[in-house]
Amino acid sequence: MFLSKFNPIRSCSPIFRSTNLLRHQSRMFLSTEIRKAIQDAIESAPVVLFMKGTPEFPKCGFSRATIGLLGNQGVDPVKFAAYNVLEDPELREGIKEFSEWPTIPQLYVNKEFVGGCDVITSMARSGELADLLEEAHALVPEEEETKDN
Amino acid sequence: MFRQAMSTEGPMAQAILKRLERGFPDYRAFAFGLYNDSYKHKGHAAVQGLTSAETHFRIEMVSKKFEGLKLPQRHRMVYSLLQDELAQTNGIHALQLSLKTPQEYESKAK
Repeated sequence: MFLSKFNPIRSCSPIFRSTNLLRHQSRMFLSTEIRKAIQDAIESAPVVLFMKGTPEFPKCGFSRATIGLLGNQGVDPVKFAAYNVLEDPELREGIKEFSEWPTIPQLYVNKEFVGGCDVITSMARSGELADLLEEAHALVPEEEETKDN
Repeated sequence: MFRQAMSTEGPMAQAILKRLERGFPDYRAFAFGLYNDSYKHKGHAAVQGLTSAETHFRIEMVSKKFEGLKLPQRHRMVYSLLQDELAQTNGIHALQLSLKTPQEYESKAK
């Protein structure tokens, strides 16, 4: 049932084995194994989002809003990986501890924690998000962008 | 009006206010809002089975303590202040934050 852990929604390489070490909901001690799995997830793409649900079917308004913002910015799907924390209780609690951030979604760009929905919304408004994504070369190249509506 | 008044009388809202008061002495000096948005999210998957009517909150706050800090750092200040309330099983499920310095607040005010 839980064959593949911490799978990015986009690709399907199992990078993490199941453990039953962790039962606590918060203030838990992150095992090095989970820490490593999370680090690998963060390094799996230039833009990484930990969210509830999938980009196609977000299961939470804040995750949906964040996906919308990243889409509007023109994030290149090839440079993007999303992880559904609802599929994995260890990831769901582990990422909060790892990032020292109690809520989901959480965005990482180039392995650096950026923030949650409010921070991203504010950065989108100020233009900081566009700059950050541009610097990370995470946007769809303009000449390849087709706009035929 | 009625809903607004009701929504922040609950024990969780009161606990939040108490924490903010202690952490940010100037939290009411400029502009402040604590909103209980739980009614908007009633019965959505993640809060099914939870009996609390205080699951979704929104805080708008202006404080000098945010000066010189980036947004994630400001959020972390508030998160750590409310860490017990966030960690409780029947605690805060979602928390939206708008955190500004007095200068930012004044430059936005029309």
